[in-house]
Amino acid sequence: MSYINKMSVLFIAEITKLINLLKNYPLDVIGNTVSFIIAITAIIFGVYKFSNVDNVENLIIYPLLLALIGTPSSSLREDIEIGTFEQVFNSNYTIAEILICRSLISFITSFFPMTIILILVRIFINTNTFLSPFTILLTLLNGISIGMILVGLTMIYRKVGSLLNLVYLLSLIEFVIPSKYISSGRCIFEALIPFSSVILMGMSTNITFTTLFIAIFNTLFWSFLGYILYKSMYNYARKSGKLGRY
Amino acid sequence: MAVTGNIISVKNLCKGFAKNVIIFENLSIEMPKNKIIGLIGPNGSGKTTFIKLLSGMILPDSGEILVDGLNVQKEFLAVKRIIGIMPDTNRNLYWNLSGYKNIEYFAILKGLYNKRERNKIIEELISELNMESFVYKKVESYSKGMKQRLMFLIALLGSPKLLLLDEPLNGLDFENSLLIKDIILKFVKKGLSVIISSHDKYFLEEICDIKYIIKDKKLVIASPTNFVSKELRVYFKILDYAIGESLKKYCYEVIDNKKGIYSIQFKMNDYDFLYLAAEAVKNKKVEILSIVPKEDK
Repeated sequence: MSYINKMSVLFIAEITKLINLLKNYPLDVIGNTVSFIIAITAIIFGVYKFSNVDNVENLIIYPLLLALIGTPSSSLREDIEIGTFEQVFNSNYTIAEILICRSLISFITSFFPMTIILILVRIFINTNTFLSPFTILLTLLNGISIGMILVGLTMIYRKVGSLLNLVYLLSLIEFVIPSKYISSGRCIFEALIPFSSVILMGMSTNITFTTLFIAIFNTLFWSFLGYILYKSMYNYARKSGKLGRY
Repeated sequence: MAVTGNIISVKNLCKGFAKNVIIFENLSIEMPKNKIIGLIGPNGSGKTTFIKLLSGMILPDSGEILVDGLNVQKEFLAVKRIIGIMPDTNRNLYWNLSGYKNIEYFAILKGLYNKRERNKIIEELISELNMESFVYKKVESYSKGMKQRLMFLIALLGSPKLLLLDEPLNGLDFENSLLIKDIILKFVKKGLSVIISSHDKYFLEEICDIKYIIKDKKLVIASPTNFVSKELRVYFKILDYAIGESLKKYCYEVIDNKKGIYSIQFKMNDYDFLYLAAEAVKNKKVEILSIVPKEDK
C-alpha cells in the first residue's frame, strides 16, 4: 500500500472518529462555531476600522491558523488524559503523522465557519479578495510547525494552552495595531513572530519582493525550528519517561 | 506451530528516573519465542516500565533491546508493527464511542487498511471473546470486565507477534479470567509470544511457561517458592443436594451430616473446582460459611 493510500485511510478514520465524538455534544459544537464566527468577525471589523491594511478579508487565514496550531497539542492532551495515548502511540503510524492528520482535518472543517465569516464581511465591507494557493501553502507549513512545537511541549509539560494564547496574541499585535505605531520594528516582528508575515502578505494587494521574502523566510525559519524542537522534545519525553506517564 | 529463537534480547540495559531512582542496572536477558512469560514484582518494582521499554514508549539510558531481532531504538516503527499492548488501566478507550467504533479505529491504526479484511478479523475476534452482546453499546456503559475484554481484543488487532499484557485480569470475574486464559493459550498455539505482568501469582503459575521476578534491579527466574499454591479450606452448607453430588468428590470431611455442612480443601489454581463452586454459590445450591487458609487448621 502506498504512503498516500495509508494516509488517506488514516484521514478517513480520524474524520469518522471526530464526527462520532462530536455527535455526543451537539450543543457544544453549535456554541463553539457561533462564538468562533462572532469573535473572528469582530476582529475583522475592528481591524478594518482602525488599521491601515488594504485587504481585510484575508484575516480569514487567521482562524485557519488557529485550527492548525491548536489541534495537535489539544488532541494529544486529550488522548493522554482519556488514557488512549498508549494505544495511539503503539500504532503503525508515527505520532507526528496522526497529529498532523488531525490538524489538517481541523483546518478543513474550519472552512465552514470561515465561509459564514466571509459572507458577513462581504455584506458589510467592500474589499478585494486575494487568497492565493501560495498563501495557503505558507499558512499550512507555518501552522503545522508551530503546532508541532506545542505538541513537543505538551509531551513534557501537558498543559500548554496558555502558550497557545500567547502565540495568538503576539500575532494579533501585527494586524490589530496600526502600523504607524510599530513601524520601526515592524520588519523584525514580521520576520520572527510566527505566521504574522504570512497573514500580512495575504492582506496586502501589492506584494513586494520584501514582503514575499519575509513571508518565506518566516515560514522556513519556523518549519525548521518546529522540526528540530519537536524531535528533540519527543526524544526527551521518551527518555525521561514523561511520555509513559499519565 | 513451533517457533524457535528469542522474541526478546536485552543487553546491558540501564534505566533510571530522576535522581537515584534506578529501575534496571545492567540487565541482560533473553526470552524465547512462542512462550507465555510472566513478570511478577511488588508495586513500583518496574514491571510496567519494562513493558514500556519493550514497546519503545520509554527509551533506555543505555543498553540495547531487540524485539524479534529488531532494535527498539533504531527500528522503532517496525517494532510497533509486531507488538500488541494491553495497558494497565482500563481507561484506554474512547468511552463515548461504542466498543465496535473503538475497535474499528484502532484496527486502522494497527494497519488493517482493507475494509473487508478488517471487518472479517474484527467479527472473528468479537465472536472468540464472546462480545456480541455488548460490543455495539457505548463504552461508558461497560463494566470493568467488559472494558478489559475490549482492550484485550484491541491488543490482538494487526496480528502481533508479541503481546504485552499489563495486569490483564484487573477487574475480571472468574468466568472472564478463564476466557482470557483460554484465548491466550489459543493464540500461543498459533505462534504468538506473550509477556504478562501481574500481581496474581496464581494466574501466572497456571498460565506461564517461564516466570520472572524483579529483584535487585534485575529480572531473575522466579523460584518455585515464589509461586507456592496456597491451599484453602472452605466450609459450606448444602442447600440443594443436586449440586452436592458433583461437589462430593472434592469433599474433605463431613462436619455435620444432618445439617449438610461439609468442608473442602482445595488449591487456588484448581479451576475445575472453583468453577463448580462458583456456579453452586451463584445458583444458591450451597452457602459458604467460612474460608480459611489450610495452615490455620
